Amino acid sequence: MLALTRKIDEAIIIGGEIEIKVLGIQGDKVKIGITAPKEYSIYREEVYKQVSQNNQEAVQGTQIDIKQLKNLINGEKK
Amino acid sequence: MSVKTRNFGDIQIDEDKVIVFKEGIPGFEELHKFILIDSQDEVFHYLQSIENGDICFVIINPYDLKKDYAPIISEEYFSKLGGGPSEQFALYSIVCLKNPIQDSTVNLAGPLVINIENKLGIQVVTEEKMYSTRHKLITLAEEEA
Repeated sequence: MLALTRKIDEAIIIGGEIEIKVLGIQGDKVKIGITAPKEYSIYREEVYKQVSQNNQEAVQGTQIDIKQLKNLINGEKK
Repeated sequence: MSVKTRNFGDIQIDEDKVIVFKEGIPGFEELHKFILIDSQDEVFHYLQSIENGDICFVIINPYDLKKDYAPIISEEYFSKLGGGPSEQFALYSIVCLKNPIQDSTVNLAGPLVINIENKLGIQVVTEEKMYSTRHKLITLAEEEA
């Protein structure tokens, strides 16, 4: 990971097309502005990670008997 | 073309049924091509990767188990899929099967959105507070009953 120190209003340019700027600092919070082409989706890391982990767990579980699951659901829907 | 899968054996793929996830799926960013396998059973379907036969998601149409499902999905997701009228988009939720089966959950916070017209797909990643990424499937079925 590349670590750079920036002051408020200073920015970083990645690949000539993505700009990350420090907009403000308040206590332990840093406000960051990001300018990037539309193709780049920008997410908070912990939110993305949660979805990612959930998906990885979901794939591992697929081997489990679907029939059992169907019976469970149909049982409830009676 | 034919794909060797872990759950369904060798399957024949209809090229124009392939769904493309340009950004991959969180946790599987390198996988972009999937097909939707609709089981005869109405409740469960599958999103099978054609690039990695071992990767397959069990999915449900969330509206089948929750008629009032109304996630807030930003316009950006739809425009990333080429835009269009709402009837053109299908929503699916990824199911996490567990052992014991009663513990299985469904991700209602981050649905898969698929544009049926151009076959582009994306998973919604938001801080949706109204729904959980691990909603108990059995609770959902009980609620609908």
